[in-house]
Amino acid sequence: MTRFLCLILLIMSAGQAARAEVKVASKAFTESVVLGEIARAAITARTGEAASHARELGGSRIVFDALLAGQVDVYPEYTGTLRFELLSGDGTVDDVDLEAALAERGLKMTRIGFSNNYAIALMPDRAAEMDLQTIGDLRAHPGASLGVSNEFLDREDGWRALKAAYDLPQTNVRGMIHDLAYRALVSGQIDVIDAYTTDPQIAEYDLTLLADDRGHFPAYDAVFVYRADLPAEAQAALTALAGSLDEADMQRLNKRAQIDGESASALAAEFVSQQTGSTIEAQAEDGPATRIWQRTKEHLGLVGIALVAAMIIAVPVGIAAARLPKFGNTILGAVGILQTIPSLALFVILIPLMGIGTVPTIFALFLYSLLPIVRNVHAGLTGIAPGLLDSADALGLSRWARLRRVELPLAAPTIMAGVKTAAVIAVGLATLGAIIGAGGYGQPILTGIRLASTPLILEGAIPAAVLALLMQGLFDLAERLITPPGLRLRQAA
Amino acid sequence: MSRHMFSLKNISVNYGSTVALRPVDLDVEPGRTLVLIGPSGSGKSTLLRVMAGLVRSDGQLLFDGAPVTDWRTVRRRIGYVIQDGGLFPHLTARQNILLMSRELGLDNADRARELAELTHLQPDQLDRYPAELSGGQRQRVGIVRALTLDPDVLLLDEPLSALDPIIRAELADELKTIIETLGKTAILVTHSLSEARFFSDRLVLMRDGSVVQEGSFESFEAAPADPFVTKFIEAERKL
Repeated sequence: MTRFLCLILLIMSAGQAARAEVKVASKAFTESVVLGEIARAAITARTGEAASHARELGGSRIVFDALLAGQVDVYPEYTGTLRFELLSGDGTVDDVDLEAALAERGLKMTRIGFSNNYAIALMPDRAAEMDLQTIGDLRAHPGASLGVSNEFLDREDGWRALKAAYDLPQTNVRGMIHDLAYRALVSGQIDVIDAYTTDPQIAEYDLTLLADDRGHFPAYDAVFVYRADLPAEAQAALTALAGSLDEADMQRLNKRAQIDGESASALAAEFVSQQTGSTIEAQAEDGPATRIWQRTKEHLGLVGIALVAAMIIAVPVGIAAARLPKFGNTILGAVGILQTIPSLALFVILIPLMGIGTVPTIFALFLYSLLPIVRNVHAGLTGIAPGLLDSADALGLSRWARLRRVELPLAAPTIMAGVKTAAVIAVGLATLGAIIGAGGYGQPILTGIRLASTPLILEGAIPAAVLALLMQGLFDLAERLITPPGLRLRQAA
Repeated sequence: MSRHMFSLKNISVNYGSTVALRPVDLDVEPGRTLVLIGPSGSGKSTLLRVMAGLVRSDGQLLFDGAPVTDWRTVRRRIGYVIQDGGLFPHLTARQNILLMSRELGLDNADRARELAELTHLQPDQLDRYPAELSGGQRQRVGIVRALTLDPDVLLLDEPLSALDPIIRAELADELKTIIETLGKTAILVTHSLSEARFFSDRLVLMRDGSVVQEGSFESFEAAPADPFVTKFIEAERKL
């Protein structure tokens, strides 16, 4: 059975691998998505072949692992993230050694030109008032209030390291969500925040960035990381982008995408057109109806395949669990444990084995669907009155005939209830598939969160809720149809 | 001497460390009715289930003179009826009756009709589900189901206990007539002494997993093997 499932997955992944197009990916924030679109537009313009772009994948580790596994060919990253996070297993990699460390893994990188560093930012009038030019100048203002991103507050190399490096006396430091910190700064509730140097808000509010005169913050130079086995023309397209964007350029692009709501692909087309001197059409944006229909197909595909596979495996396993009590306890325990694995952790475990996209998502949904089905098959079969089983045996029915003619029909309503539970859970969980590039209703939700756009979030959330309700209704109906008429009478009585 | 239908030697049943049946010797003659009687937990049902192959036992069991190697073939020669009929609720009365025939690829529709007539079941009742039938009707269907494959033996586990007195008396008459008309060997389990007397003059009184006395009701009265026998008879008379 497991072999059968592996076969399905293999066929599906083979279908994906057959497309030799270049696969671009990006992480779940606007700058990354814009840079991903630029890489795609540049590669398409140079090679004349279509390239795909898996947007908004959930985290550096996920995308980097996918790159190593060959599921992704290129994505935008930062040297600091590569050095301190992704390659931290190598010990601290020197900025100079970074290319060598990547080459060992069959990867290359091209510096895009700008850096997206940590910085300390203030409103310009406040900076003038307090007479601040460098971070060290903050020592003269022990009462200044700071609002820094939660991540910066927690990290070893974040606030604590900065405080030590500059002997800063401030104690009024709050952790907050990055976008909210800007609002608090503008409204004068806090004096100082941490910023990323390409944040569009820096230009929008003309913020003053304090000089890091002690060189505390490491460089987070933006790079395209890509596989060394990428076709030469595609590599040339990426190296041609070297040094093409400075911090001000990137800030402007971020502003247009994040604040003005321009589409990332339109911005990328415009930028690459200027770079190459040839006109490039932006990818046409689909209307909402087409978009939702596309997401619905993806979502149904994820849930449907996972459910069918789960039923094929879980029903026999549930029967075996009911027949062999000792094995039953082990099996119920095992599928119970599977259920407790957090979905994000499961994805990370599955990526080295199955890459990103639909295959690991379906596999994860399959695993989560096992428990409700196995448990209900077991409950349905063990709940049959012993007298009925004796009667079946005494008639001379074989074990198989007893199962088919008596036990399964009697357990059918309970089994269907388990499948229904699995289906409703799977519809909800499948939205998480978007963080590893499986599409579905999770995609507009991710984009909506990134752009702080409620309509976009609802474009994913509402259909997902409707689909869950539809599933519920559909299975209620199926449950009624599959319940033998004689049993419906008993329930009515 | 004719062959015994069942011949049990030293048959005992243990569930782990619990003794459900102490070693029992018992012969069942063909064409006769034997009644196993005793209070709850006396092992009478267990003994019956041993004879249907539903309980694993130690000792020697012969069916029709031969040790049982394959219970499934033996069960086709046995009809088994439990309290309230033991009908499958998802099948109509007719589907219940013909379930095993269908498995074997036999057309027993005519036989089912005859048997239904014999037990006073109306044809339209055969198309109902167990939930739509009364207790007495369900038990009749259970009896017809047990008889469809024309077995040599009927094993009846408290077949009348779930019924109200009038239906019970009616069905007792019918059952006795059927057993005699069809010439079946029958083994009936009951806790009611009057029911036992009605069906047979060969009773086996059991207590705590062992046989206390074997014989007719009259012999129980005249020569009780144990004070328990007298006590059991008196308890029945009182109510």
